[in-house]
Amino acid sequence: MGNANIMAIPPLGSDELGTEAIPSDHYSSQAFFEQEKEHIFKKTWLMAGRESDVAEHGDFITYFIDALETSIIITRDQHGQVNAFYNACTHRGAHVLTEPCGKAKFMTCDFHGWVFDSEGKLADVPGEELFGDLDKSKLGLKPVSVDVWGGFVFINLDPEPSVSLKGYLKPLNESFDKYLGNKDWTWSYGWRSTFNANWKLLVDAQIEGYHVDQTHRNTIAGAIPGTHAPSIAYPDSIGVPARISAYRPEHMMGVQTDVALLSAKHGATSLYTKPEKEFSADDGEGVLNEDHPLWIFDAYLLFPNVVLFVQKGQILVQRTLPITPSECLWEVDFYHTGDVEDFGQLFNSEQGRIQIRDVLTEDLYTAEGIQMNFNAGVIKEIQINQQEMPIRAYYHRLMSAMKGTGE
Amino acid sequence: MSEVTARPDVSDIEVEINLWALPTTEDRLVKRMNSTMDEINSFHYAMLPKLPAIIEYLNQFKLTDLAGDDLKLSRAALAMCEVDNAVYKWKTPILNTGIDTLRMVKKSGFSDRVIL
Repeated sequence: MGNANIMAIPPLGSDELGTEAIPSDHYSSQAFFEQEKEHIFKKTWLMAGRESDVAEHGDFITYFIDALETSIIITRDQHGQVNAFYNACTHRGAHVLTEPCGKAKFMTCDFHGWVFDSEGKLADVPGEELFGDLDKSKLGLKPVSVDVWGGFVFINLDPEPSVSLKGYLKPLNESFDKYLGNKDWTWSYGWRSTFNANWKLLVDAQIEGYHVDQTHRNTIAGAIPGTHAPSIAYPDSIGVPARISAYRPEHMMGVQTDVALLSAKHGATSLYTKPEKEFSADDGEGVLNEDHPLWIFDAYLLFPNVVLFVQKGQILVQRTLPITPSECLWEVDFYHTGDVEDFGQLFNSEQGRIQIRDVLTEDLYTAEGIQMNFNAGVIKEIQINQQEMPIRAYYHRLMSAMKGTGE
Repeated sequence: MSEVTARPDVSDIEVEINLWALPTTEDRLVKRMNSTMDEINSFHYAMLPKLPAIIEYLNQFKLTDLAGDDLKLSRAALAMCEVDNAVYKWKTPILNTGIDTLRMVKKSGFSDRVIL
């Protein structure tokens, strides 16, 4: 089976990540936070939406970056192109759109009625003659860099990103693009919350296996032992610093309840119960580690703020966004294929949804206490072991991004 | 042509079904959080022996066709997912090693955030 090789974790100091303790002030410093806004959130590719939510001409979604007080509009135009603009009327600066999503081939500002088309062009100005010789061709919505990968829409506030989205996400290749972009994926459910914690702490919580046995002792510790969560770094990648995987134990530990076993007969949406029902995923070659009978998922850290869980039959996306150094927005979203049509599928979906919800409450439990200790200056540095290597890779990527080049 | 599965007799647990047959996951979450362990165990162990037959019976129909007593039964069956961890793993109605679950607000889509 070669389990020993698969479960192996890199030795300390590998990939030139070092072995030293990591300072904690990048989670709490206002000055560092201001630099993050400039060098990260204004320079890197950010996952802003799902392409299927702007499937047709006139469909729009909006995306808000709290720390920058910046709202973005993403549209599909009449040529089939996905566009992104600052949500700012070029008349007096009002938000043009106030809804999170919808359909509007022409977007009308609520303030004075200026109208923009889905390409961002200023199409109509009420009482245009009142402005004298207004040049509408120069007053379109201000564009934002945008691209699509894996069915997700990414934006970049740098007008000329230093690297393409495709290049940014290497080593994730075209197979990932095709698999994740499969039109069969549909949004199933998700949750949102705010936390009194730095945005990176909630990323950290999802990218190491060392916490599983203790943090999840009341839920999944037996189903994914910490020793079955190997990780690797991608030191040459700009946007994907590391990956962590999860494997079932050879012999399932913990409690396998009757409800979980009944659920497994009807679907594949529970992370922690091996599904009896087969799920066919198109274009998954090279993406899913199906050759290994114990493999559950791979979770990729997409710098700066996304953890993308890829598994058979389910995509899980965790996104965080900064509000202040000590406050963030947290969201998770789940995608599945196929509609839930019968009760067995609904039961399976419900069981999987509740299990992951309860596990997430545990993942989220420690962040606010950690933040207090960082803010108070009680803890000035943190210790990182082999199993926590992705946190070190994340920190290294963070510090390189702070140079301001976008790379 | 597959055989029709008969509706299991649940008349003896009708009281429990009525208590837990709430419309949404969130309703059932709140019900679990506001219940005692005795109440949760009473529901769980009343339903458990009949659950495989209930799922098999309900699985014959399209979800959109479930109505009346069958819809009620389906909601009570889903409540079994809600109480499962409390019964077998926590032995208490609320997980005390996690955040308050009610802080996780249900989303309606990937892009559903209203700003102003």
